[in-house]
Amino acid sequence: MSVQSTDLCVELSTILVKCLTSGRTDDALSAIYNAKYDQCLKDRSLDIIPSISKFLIQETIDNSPEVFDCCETLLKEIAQKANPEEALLEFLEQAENLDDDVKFLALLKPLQIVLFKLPNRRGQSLEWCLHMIRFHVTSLPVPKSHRLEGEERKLLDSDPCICRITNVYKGVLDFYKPFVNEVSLRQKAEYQKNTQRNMLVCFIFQLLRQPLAILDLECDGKSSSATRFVAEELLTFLSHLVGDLMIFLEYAETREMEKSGKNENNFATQSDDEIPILSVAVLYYLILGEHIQLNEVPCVYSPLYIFQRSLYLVVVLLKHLEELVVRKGLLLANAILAMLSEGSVPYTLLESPVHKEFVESLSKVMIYCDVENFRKYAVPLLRSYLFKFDVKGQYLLMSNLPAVVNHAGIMGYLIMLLKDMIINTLDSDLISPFFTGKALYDLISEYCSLSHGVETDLIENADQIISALNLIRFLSLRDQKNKTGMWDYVGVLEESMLEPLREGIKLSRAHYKLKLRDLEEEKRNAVLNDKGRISKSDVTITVGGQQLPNLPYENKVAVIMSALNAFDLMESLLSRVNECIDSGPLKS
Amino acid sequence: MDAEMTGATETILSPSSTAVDISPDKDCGILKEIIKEGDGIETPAHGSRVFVHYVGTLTDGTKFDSSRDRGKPFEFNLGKGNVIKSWDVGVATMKKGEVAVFTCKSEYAYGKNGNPPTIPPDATLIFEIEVIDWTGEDLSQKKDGGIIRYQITKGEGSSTPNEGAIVEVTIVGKHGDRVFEERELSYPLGEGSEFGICDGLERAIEKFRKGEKSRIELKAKYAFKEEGNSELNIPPNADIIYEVELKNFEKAKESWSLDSAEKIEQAKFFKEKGTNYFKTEKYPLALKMYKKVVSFTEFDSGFQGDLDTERKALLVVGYLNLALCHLKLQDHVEARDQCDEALKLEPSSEKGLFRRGQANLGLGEPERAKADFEAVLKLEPNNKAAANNVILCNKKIKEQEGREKKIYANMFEKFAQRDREKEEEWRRNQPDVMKTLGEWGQDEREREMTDFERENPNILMLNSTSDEFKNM
Repeated sequence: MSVQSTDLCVELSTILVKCLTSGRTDDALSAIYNAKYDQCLKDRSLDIIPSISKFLIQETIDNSPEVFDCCETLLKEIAQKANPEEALLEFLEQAENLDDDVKFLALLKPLQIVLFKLPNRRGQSLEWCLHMIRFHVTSLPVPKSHRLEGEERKLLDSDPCICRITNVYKGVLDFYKPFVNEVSLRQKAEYQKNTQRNMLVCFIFQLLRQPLAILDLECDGKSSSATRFVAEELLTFLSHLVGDLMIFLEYAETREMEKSGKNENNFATQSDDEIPILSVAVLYYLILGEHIQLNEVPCVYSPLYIFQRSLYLVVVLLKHLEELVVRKGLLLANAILAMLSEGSVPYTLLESPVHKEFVESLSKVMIYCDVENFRKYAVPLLRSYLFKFDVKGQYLLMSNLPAVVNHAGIMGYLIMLLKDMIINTLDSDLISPFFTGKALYDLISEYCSLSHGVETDLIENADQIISALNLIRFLSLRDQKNKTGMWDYVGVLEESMLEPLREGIKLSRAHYKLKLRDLEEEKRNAVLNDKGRISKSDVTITVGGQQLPNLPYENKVAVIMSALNAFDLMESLLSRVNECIDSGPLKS
Repeated sequence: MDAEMTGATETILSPSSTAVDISPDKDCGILKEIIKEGDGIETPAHGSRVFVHYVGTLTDGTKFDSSRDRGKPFEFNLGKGNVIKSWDVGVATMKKGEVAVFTCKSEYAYGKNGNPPTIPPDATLIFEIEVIDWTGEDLSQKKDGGIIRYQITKGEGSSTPNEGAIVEVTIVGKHGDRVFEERELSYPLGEGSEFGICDGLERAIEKFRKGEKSRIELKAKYAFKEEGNSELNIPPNADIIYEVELKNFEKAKESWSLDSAEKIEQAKFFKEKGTNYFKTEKYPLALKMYKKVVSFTEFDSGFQGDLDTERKALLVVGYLNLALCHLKLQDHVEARDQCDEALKLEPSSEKGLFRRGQANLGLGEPERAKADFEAVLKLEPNNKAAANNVILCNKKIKEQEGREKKIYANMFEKFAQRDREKEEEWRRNQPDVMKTLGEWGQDEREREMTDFERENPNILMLNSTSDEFKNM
């Protein structure tokens, strides 16, 4: 390299820095357009780029936006004139700055220009850029969980973290666009294998994961979140790249198989997570749940196939902790269930272990999810899911569910569903062998029983017990002709459930009454403080196996009273059931 | 060609009289009309990966979907239920290059639900399909084309063997034109290595239905890899072809899809299998079978009355036989644990006690073993084997005592020795208090006295003159 060129280069750098510092943007521009520097721009972009890019900071935007604009123009010009390989490396290095989006975003355009100057050898360079972008995007800080319910979710759009994320994504989309268009199938591009296309697909999937997966991507007709726009664009890109968006369901299947075979099979341990499964789940949530690009999806896939494949994705989503991911799982589940008509899913599908996982994770949401809306949303999903199966499927699910859910509330709910299934059986002309006779009895004895006989904690299991009593009463009234064959088992049922329950109520009531007396005694003996209240109570109450924290007297009394009420309710139901049974047709 | 196409468009709205009913029930649900004849006679087999272009239209002429608009042929696996029924049935009748129009009633399409937003409820759909090509089905997990299946005869039903299922297969292996093996065998899927079945073939058989016959093309890495197989005269890195027929299989059932009676049935089935393997001394296999017996019977939900009694009996047998297999395999810890499980359910199981005794003996615990054997004798005083084992235990206990005496005799001396060594080492490792203090003292001396020290010289218990610090 000639001394002269080196000198010129130093000269140019100095001029540029001086001009930019003092805000003389026109001079800076005329310097860069000056042909005498062309050679040095070509050879020495490495040295010139940093001296300009250091102005790419928030401060410049705030104080002198025209300088910032000028910097951008300068860099674009350099990108045009420089040796592309060298400039690429320098731009990449400058852009790798995680604290600052300003510089990152401003450098995307020159990077794009440089890449377009490398049409034949672009592969590796593009991959570097996409890597850098992915790294920047996935490292963005995410908003804290707000547990926002309903309308409150709209507030998320003003969260600073989310604004930042949306902003970065928008810049990234602009960067992707021309590369996507270049190989888009819509532009009559060859559909045969293409490295650039595959690479773009892989990286778009990366962008669908963190942080997009944990943001609100919903649209309620009127307003949609700012991040949704990003999701829509990404899906448009994908659709242009691969044509049939449903093709990734096959990928989901492969992953599902891998997972189920993991324990025995070393075949499956492939760690190159080119397409993260969470991204696939988000993709299908967006297509099926949010109807993004749904019009472009081939209209020949069988809904059952989509259901089967997506169920695994629902499980993936539901198992996440972030509530907006869980919500996506619920919405996807809702969407795939809506595609099917009742009774249309054959029981043979249950061979796949994914069904157990689905029910497990769904019931976890029903019980433990922090957001009340989600818990409530999950409940009818379970019902909808069960009724999509054929009768044998429903029966198999019902008989296996108690081992999975094990929660009195859900058990109570399932008993209600069982009642509906029995009604369906009674209403149909063809009596199915599943909700009648011995099979039905097996089910009923599973659901209508006291887990610890007389000593069962009636308060903890109140939901289940009351539902169970209702079911028995319903059956005895509805099935007077013994169509279900229930009356043959009434004796056994009395022995295993009704008798111990009567005894249990007696014992529990006595126990709680005793506690009440203790409390009253304590009150009489206690020293009243100045407000006339008892500050502390030493009588302990245990509900559901857990001792209540030391509550004030009034609360304890309230707890006991509500328990006593529950016993009354159970008792009245029980006697009603007994009446029905006694006046039943086949009771000898 | 173009003219033909437009001609087809006009007839789309109502199928012409030349349309053929190809629906399986002959209910006119799928009508097919050939627009352009294809080549040859071959049609894609079940499972093939088929590439087509298509245009879908409603009866009112609205185009709702077209692969051409997406710029890429549509591809799918035929006959897997991945697409609507009319497609699985229809495309299977087409030859390469053929163009046909299918008129599909909603029962064979999207039914009364429709497919929002594009397909209304109960809609009849019209598809013009052109079959471009097809390939065998890629069965490899990584979809790298390493295991390709070409179906010759379609199997029946929908179920396929899973890991652990006993499959009965006929295989013919070819390397180029040379047949290198031809045999019939029955083995549990997943243990192919024991039976000379390579990874790729195993993976393929997993996807077979009963009665299916297919050609499986394997890349070397799924077959004999870079090692090749000298016995079969397969060179390194050779791609090979198998022709496989799955004659029958006994599925290893997922216990979720079974009701209680079926679970018992499965458990019995595997008990039989296990016993057969046990008799022929294939203990690892027998072990696998008995494990299944346990897995089908270990949870009691849904079992009632007689069935529950049977379940318990099977479970106990399962545990006991597992124990026996473990004993044969010299895995005494496992054997003992299995006996414990069995005895939990049936505390007075003679076999359980006896086998636990053997396990304990194997573990070098003759005292415990003796207790077990004595318990057997209590239940059945005439059990000679147990009586003999008690004698054996006594002998072992004595031996052990003798040995222990020897060990213990030296032990105290040894311990004492070791303690001394330890103490010595500890001492060595202790910092020399005096020395380090000296060093520390050195520091002290080198620094100037603080004001505090000057004012309170006694605090360091030295004489009050400042000089003494320096010369300590």
